Amino acid sequence: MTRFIHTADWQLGMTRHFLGDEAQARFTQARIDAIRTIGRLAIEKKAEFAVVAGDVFESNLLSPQVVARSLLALREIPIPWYLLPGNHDPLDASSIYDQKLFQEQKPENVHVLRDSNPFEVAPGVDLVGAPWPTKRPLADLAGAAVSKLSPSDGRTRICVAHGAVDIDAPDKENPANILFENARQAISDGRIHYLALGDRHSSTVVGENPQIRYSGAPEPTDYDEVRPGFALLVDLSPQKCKVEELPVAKWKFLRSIFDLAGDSDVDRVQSFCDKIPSKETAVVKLAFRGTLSLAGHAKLMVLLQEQGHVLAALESWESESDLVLRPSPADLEAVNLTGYAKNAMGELLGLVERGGPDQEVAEDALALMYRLSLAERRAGAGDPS
Amino acid sequence: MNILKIRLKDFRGIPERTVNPNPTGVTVITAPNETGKSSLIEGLGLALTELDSSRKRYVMDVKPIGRDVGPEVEIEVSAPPYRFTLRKRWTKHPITELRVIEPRAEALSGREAHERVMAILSGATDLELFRALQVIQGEGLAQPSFVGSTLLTRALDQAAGQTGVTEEDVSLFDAVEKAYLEDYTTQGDERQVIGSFRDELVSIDTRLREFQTKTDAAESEVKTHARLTQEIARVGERLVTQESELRQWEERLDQVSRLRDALRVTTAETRGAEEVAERTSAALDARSRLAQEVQHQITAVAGLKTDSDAAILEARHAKEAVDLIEAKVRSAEETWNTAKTLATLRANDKEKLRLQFDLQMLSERLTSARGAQEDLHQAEEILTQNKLTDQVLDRLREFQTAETVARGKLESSGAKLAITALADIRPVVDGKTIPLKKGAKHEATVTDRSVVELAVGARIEFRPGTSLAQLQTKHTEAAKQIRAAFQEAGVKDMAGAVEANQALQGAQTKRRDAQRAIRQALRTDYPEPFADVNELAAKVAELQGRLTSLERDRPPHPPLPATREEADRLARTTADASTKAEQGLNAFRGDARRAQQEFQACSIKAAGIDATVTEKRRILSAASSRLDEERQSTSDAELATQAERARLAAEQQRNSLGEAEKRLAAADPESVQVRTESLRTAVQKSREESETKRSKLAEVSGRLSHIVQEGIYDQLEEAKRARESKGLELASRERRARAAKLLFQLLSRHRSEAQRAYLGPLRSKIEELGRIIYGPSLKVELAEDLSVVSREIDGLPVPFESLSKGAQEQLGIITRLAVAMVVGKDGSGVPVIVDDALGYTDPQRLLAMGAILDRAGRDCQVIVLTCQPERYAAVGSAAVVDFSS
Repeated sequence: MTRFIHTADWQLGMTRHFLGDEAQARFTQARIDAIRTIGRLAIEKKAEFAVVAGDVFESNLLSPQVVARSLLALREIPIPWYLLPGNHDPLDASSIYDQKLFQEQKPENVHVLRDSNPFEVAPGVDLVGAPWPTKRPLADLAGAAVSKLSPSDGRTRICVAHGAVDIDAPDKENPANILFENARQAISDGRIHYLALGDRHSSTVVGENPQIRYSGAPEPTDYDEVRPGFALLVDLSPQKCKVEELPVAKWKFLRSIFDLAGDSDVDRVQSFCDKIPSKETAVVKLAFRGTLSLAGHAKLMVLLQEQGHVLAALESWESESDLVLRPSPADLEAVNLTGYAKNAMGELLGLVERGGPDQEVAEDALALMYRLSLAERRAGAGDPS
Repeated sequence: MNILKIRLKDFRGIPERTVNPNPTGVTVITAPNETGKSSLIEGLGLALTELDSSRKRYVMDVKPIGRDVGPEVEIEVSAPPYRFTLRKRWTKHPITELRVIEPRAEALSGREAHERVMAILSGATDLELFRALQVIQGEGLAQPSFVGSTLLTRALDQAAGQTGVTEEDVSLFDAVEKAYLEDYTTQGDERQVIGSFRDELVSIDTRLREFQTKTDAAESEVKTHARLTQEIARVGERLVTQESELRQWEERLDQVSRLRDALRVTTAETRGAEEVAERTSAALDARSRLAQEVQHQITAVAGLKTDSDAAILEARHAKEAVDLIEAKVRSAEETWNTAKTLATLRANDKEKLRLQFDLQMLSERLTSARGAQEDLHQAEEILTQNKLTDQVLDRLREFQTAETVARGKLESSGAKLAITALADIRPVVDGKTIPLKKGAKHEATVTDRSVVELAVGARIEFRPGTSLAQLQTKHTEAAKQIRAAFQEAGVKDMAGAVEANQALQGAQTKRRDAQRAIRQALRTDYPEPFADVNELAAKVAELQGRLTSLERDRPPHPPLPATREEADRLARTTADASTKAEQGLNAFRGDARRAQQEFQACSIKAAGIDATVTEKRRILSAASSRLDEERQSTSDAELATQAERARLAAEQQRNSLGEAEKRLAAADPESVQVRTESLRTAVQKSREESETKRSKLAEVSGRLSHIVQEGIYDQLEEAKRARESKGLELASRERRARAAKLLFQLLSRHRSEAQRAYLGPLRSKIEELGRIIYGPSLKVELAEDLSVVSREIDGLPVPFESLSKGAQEQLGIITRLAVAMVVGKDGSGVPVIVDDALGYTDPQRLLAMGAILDRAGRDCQVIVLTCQPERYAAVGSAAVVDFSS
């Protein structure tokens, strides 16, 4: 029986374009800190070793800072780490694992799986890696690694591989797809007892086979990930396999669409935002549909601006948004326009009602007019604001 | 605002005058020209604007001339809710007094008062508009400017039925404009700001492309690396195959080599055999030739022997002849020796006699020369000492003459003193008493001074003139000169000089003679004269010496000849005899030589032949013995056998050679060579290819190892992030700009429309008034600044500038009246002041203007100043004030 950590897709050095410089730095650091979190859990749970099933680094061309900091974090956790080169960090001529920095600073407890020869990692436990030699392999690497194996003779065998499995693959024609049938057969033959996969960012069981699993990425990377943010704790023997999900993530990606029928609905947005814990590690994307008065719109704008300051990032979900401005009587009273100003506003309203390509500009103009009028009114009334 | 009172005191030429215009309606103030009615308006203006401390030009101008007082103005003004009086004096004792009557009494003075008035007026009315509504004398044709008058604007708004443009509206417009101008210029062009965002985006894109290119380059290097690795492997395999093939062919090549070697050996052996055959055959030939040779030699030797004997005999005869001749020679030699000795003796005798003769002659010459030398020496001694040359003598003579002349002159020119005694006297002349008897004379030359004393008691002094002194001097000098000359010449006097000169001449003569004598002595019979006496002496000594030696060597016999002729003759004959004997000897010597030569030739010949014979014998003997030797070792028959055997062996070898060649050809050596070579080349190329690819691989690896250190990924991602954020920023900015632009344009358009609406009431008012004068079809067009653009009558619009002066001034007044009517119906407006206008208007139109003024007067205060009251006669409602009274 052996106990180990299965994780993958650290993608250290990954960037998200919608993050500002400061948020990006924190995002990068969080992914490095995840190593420490996983490591602490590994030690706490007495795991014998850890496998990282591919995409340890986001690219082979990373700056030395990220590599150095990652290796430092790995060094701090005194268990053996087995890193598998994946499609982001393949073992080609530019491989990050062959660069001077990695070679010089690699701690002794870190090992790179460079071939698919089985080797012992703990008494009675073998590891077989299927490393990616290029960005676009032309064959099922895991299948090739496994096909060379003979039955394990009582030893526990773990295969570590990376990539899409054909039954779930987005691109069915990709020659690098891992053939599910081969893997399943290898397990029933007893040639391997667990296939530790990486590539999907959500913790997933493949083909209802609990011994073929994706661990998912330890920190989320996008809004549409189903179940990111875990590392798997695996208890394995030739007879038994038990897997526990350990939550690791600190960041969250949240997406929401709000239907706003009126100004009071803006409060729902407010409370949604208020409920977000640790805003500095939250990436939020919002869409608004419906109608707001000018006052309501102004209120919403203020709310979004404030939230934008404290969230890691606040994105606008353009494709789902459909918000219309309709000045209310209260709006008109508030601005209290007369004369030609009033007439001008009337025309703007007409443009907004008409819709069409000018609607957005007209709404913006309307909002601007509203804002400036209120400001002038306040100034005129001696309001120092 | 209405003007209730204007009072002027000490203002320009006006001591004091007050006017109280009607607060409403038309007031016509009449006065002749130059009575100061314009001063009223002026004063009103000053009171309203200038501080009492003002020293401005137009304040100073209103000071009355010739009087030391300050001009003063007092006005009463109603500007609801205020009514006040204001009094000001400038320049001298300036004051400002304000008395507010309504709504609350106030009294202020000084600057405070001035400022209070300003505050009241700016709050209650519009001073700018007030000014605009004045038609100042001379300025009637200019269009007034009402722009910016809020009073008017408000009035127009009200009249147009608006709630008015509030201040908020204005400030909203300003705020919108401000927002608009953040992104656009006043011309409507996009500001640089957005452009610079776009530029930034462009430069980010450039960076992005650059990093992408670098990333792609890295990818490409990786691919190249993988490809090269594969290729290297392939080449490796190919190399293995090629090398094994090469080995096989090299074996075949070895085989060919071996056959070649075998062939070489056989070729060598064949050559060997052939050589042997040749050799043996040659030996056989040599043997037969040798035998022939020996035979030949024997014959030759025999012949030569005969020749040798003959030659020896000949030599012996020649020797005998030589001996004979040599005896003859010896005898001739003796004869000649004797003759030679005698001849020599006689020759010496001849010489001796000659010498004696010469010696005599030369000795004589020598003696004479020596004597002459002595004379010469003496003469020269004299000449050294004697200086008295002819020149010196001549000069002495000159000096002598000069002295004599000088003396003569002196004496002759000297004054003469002649005393003739007329009685017996005893004059003392120069201290010397010279008694003279009667009739006696005493003469003397007075050269210097002479004093004659007479007893009669007179001293007579004679002083010659200066010329005498000169002569005296001259004489003294001449005497000195001659004395000095004598001294220098070494003589005492002229006689002595003459003597010396003669002695000199004598010595000169003597010298000449001596020199001549010497020259003569040196000229002898010898071809060249002697250079000097010493040479002559030497020659004498030499001759003496020779003579002495000749005498010493002569034997006593035969005796000396007596004479030179004898000596000559003997010398001659003996010489001839000697010569003859010599000749005979030489003839014999010649013969002897020839005989000797003959003998030598014969000897040589004999020896030669002998040598040849000896040689030939030797050769023969050598050849014979060789032949014998050879025959002993190998007989002639044996030689023949050997030769035959060798020939056969050679032939056999040649056959073997042919075989070996065939075998080699069968192995196809060229093809094997070619194939092996080409395989070698192929292997070499494969190796090179592998090498090249390896080094390329190393390069690629090198480049990659550099690229990976650059952190390209991060740079690319950072650029992407920048692009995203900048893109969003730009989009948001553009969106904001578009909104601001739409809002601004919309608002501007509405404002213009609103403004155009303003104009309605004013236009209506102008047309209402104007129709009184221009008829019912009158229409006017106003610009935004409320000026009249054109006047239209009966559908024909005419631009304002093109109207007649009369029409322009009419419209000017009508416009002002219309404005005043629009602005204030209840005194809250501003009055219209017309100062002597309508000069261009004809009487017909004047009537109409009168009606217009009437009409306007119902709604506002109008003050008209004129010097021609009949112009305004038609203003029925007017209150007329005569200013001049």
